[in-house]
Amino acid sequence: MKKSMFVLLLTVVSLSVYPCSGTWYSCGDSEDLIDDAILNCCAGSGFNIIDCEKGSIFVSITEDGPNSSCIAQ
Amino acid sequence: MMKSHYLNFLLLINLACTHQRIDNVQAGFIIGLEEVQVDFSNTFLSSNVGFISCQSLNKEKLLIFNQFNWKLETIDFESFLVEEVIQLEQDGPSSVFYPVHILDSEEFWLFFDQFNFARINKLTFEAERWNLRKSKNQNLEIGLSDLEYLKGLNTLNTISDVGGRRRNKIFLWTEDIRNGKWRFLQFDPDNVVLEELPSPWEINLIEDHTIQVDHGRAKIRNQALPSILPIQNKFVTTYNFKNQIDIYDQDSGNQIFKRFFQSKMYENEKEKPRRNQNGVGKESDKEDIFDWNLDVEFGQLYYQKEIDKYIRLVRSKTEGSIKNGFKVFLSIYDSKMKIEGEISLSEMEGDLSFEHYFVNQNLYIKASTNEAEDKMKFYKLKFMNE
Repeated sequence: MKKSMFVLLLTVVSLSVYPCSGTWYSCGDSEDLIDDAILNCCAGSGFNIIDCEKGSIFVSITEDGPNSSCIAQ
Repeated sequence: MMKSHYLNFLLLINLACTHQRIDNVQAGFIIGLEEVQVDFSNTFLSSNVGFISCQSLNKEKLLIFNQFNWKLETIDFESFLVEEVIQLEQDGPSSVFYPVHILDSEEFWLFFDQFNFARINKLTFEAERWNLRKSKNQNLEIGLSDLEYLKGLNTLNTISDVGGRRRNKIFLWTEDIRNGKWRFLQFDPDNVVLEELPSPWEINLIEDHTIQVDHGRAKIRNQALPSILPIQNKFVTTYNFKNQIDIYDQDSGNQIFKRFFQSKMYENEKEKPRRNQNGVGKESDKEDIFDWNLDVEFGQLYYQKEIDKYIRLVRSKTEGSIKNGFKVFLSIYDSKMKIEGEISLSEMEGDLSFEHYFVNQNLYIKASTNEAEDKMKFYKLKFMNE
């Protein structure tokens, strides 16, 4: 029961917030997180991804994403 | 003789009751692992997912940021229970951001991500936040550049000022990915002031292990990191990729000790990324970073007051996953960083992950398998006199 709640929460978090900073946990789907960030984060954003099998990477965004708040302004 | 048998019998009974594993090490101590289980049934925490943590101010509990319900909570390793400290706001003027590091100080709970700092007053619960980048915060005399990121931090909180109030000294280390420059900074969380200090690490070691992958409008890097333990007037530096310990004088920044240890139990350095003839990185991809991650990994150093020694864990190279398929070793050093003992903890207990937490002068190693998400199993490292 708790596990399903956890998955639901994780899904809600993933859909509602883009990973422009902080530490994000993934299990084989780090590519999706990076693609989301490229679209939605401003240049200079940076975040860690900890993959459950492969360990940690650091991602820095070098250009403003087309859907980011920087472009919208 | 009779007494000896009686003591052995008592020891066996004790071990049977507490699920301890014991083994000898050359440092004059009996090393034990005691299984403990923390109850997660009253929290959203899951034994399957890691969490952001630090020691509580009195060092007796582990303070954690629970990302699932945005609460600060503590894990009490005496009662094995999780207790709520404060519900955090995600939106509005009292909100904080998703932190990478948290710290507990006398007046505030402190939050850091890669370029932001926030604090919550423990009495008024007022939240304040700052961007640590110079371009975004004109009040900062020294700030981070636009592509400079916080990579790690540590505290020394045994300092007393004239009023006898405990104060935290916070040390941050940053990397500017535009030029690969690292900086070491002291941070005053009360006045939000950064001061640059001489860097207590060997930058060429870090550069040798750095992998950067261009990924369209992003860059992906591995985490070749120093870890710095402030002790009195010294910084003790370790690296997560090499079996080396350096010591630097805090005032002058001079290196006063350096040793590359040669263990026969595990590889002493991760394999360096391949370079082309110009000395720059070869065309790397994300899999190269993952392969680097799976190579031998060196944990940070802790001072174990009970035995007046420094200890750290080392994970052997693993294939395919950081979850399993490796061995965990314990190294013990005296105050002069002379190695006193090395032991394979995995020979004593096969269920060890490499995720570990130091709290209340004890090292707790998370189990690699947990039967339920509501129970987090740890192995407490114990030292007993021979």
